[in-house]
Amino acid sequence: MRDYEKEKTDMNISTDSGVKKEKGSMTKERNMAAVKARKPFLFILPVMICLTVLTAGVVIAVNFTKDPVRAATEQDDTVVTDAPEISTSGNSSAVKEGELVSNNSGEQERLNELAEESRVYCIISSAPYFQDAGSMGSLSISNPEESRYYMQVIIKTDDGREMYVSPLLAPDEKIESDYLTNKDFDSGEYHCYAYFNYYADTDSASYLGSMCAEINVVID
Amino acid sequence: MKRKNGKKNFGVLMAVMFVVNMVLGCPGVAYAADSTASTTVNGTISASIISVNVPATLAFNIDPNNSDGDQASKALIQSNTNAPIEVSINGGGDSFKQSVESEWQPIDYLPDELAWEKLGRSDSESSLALGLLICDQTQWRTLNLNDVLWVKELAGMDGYAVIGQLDPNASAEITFQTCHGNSFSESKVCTYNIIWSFSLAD
Repeated sequence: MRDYEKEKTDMNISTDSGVKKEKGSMTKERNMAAVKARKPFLFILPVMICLTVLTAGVVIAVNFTKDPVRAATEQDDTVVTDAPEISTSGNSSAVKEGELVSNNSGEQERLNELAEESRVYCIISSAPYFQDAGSMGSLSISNPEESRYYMQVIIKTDDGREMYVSPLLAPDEKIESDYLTNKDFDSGEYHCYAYFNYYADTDSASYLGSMCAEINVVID
Repeated sequence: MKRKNGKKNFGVLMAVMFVVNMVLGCPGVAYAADSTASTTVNGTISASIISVNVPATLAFNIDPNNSDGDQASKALIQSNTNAPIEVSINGGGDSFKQSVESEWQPIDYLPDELAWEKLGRSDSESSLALGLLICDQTQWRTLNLNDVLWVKELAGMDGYAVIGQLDPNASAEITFQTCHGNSFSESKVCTYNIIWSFSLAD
């Protein structure tokens, strides 16, 4: 285009010169012929550019939309071309409609039942009384009928001295009165803890848990 | 009229003197002290019997796929004592702790010690914050536990952590609260032991 303009300018300059009029008209004719000869290229060039861009666009679009398996196949013949077959061995009765939801509706009841079945009982006099350390005193210990477990009661002073150990009591058994198993105590009022240990069976390995009652043992 | 009044006054005077004489002069009055019988009344009050029952086993279920899916047993503490009862747990980590036989043995944490939702698999499978929670505050005569009592918090306590006091022959529910990660490659079962302590309330 620049050349064309230059030629055009050159042509105008030559037209303005009177001396070289004849010479200029000859040059003008030559220039016009050159322009005429270049004209088709001036139209073809943009068309070719457009076609190139269009072709590139089509190629890119085709590559993007191409099936990956087919594309791979075209590149490498060793890739398996068959889609996986749908197996019919699945259990169709397991299929349900809808989205996955956490189903814990019965879980709360199960947890509560588990707790209720393990209910243990703690029954004892809050102030067992002994006339002296060698006398029988009232304890009022009970493992009621509704209990499911064995239990043993151990009474300790708050400084850890063992005062009394009961035999293992089965459900529906009680100790109304008993002797202290440790008679080495002077007269006085002792702040004690009665530990109730629970067992599912008559062996230590079946230990379930413990409870504690705070009591005052009085030895006159 | 005057004469009548004089007679009447004389009669009243005689009656008064007679009564005074009877009171002051009668030997029977002095003798009455010797005949007084004293009765000794022996009042025997039996000691109250503490009678309480609670579940020995409490369980909870963690659902890492549902933020509202965690569930725990509701434990009913039932007092059959005819007096108010104080409920407490001994501090120091012996009375509310993981069982040595627990299948899953996570490390106890306080809830604000970890960013629970961001925990990966190994941290999720080794960390837990478990706490005791009161279900209904109105079930208690007095309540000392106004928030969750965490296992780790109790382990650092001296003495007893008093939960509250129950009215005579009353019951109250407690449950558990947990903080945990959400990345578990398998289901977990863990067991905690609580040694409840009961005493007559002041």
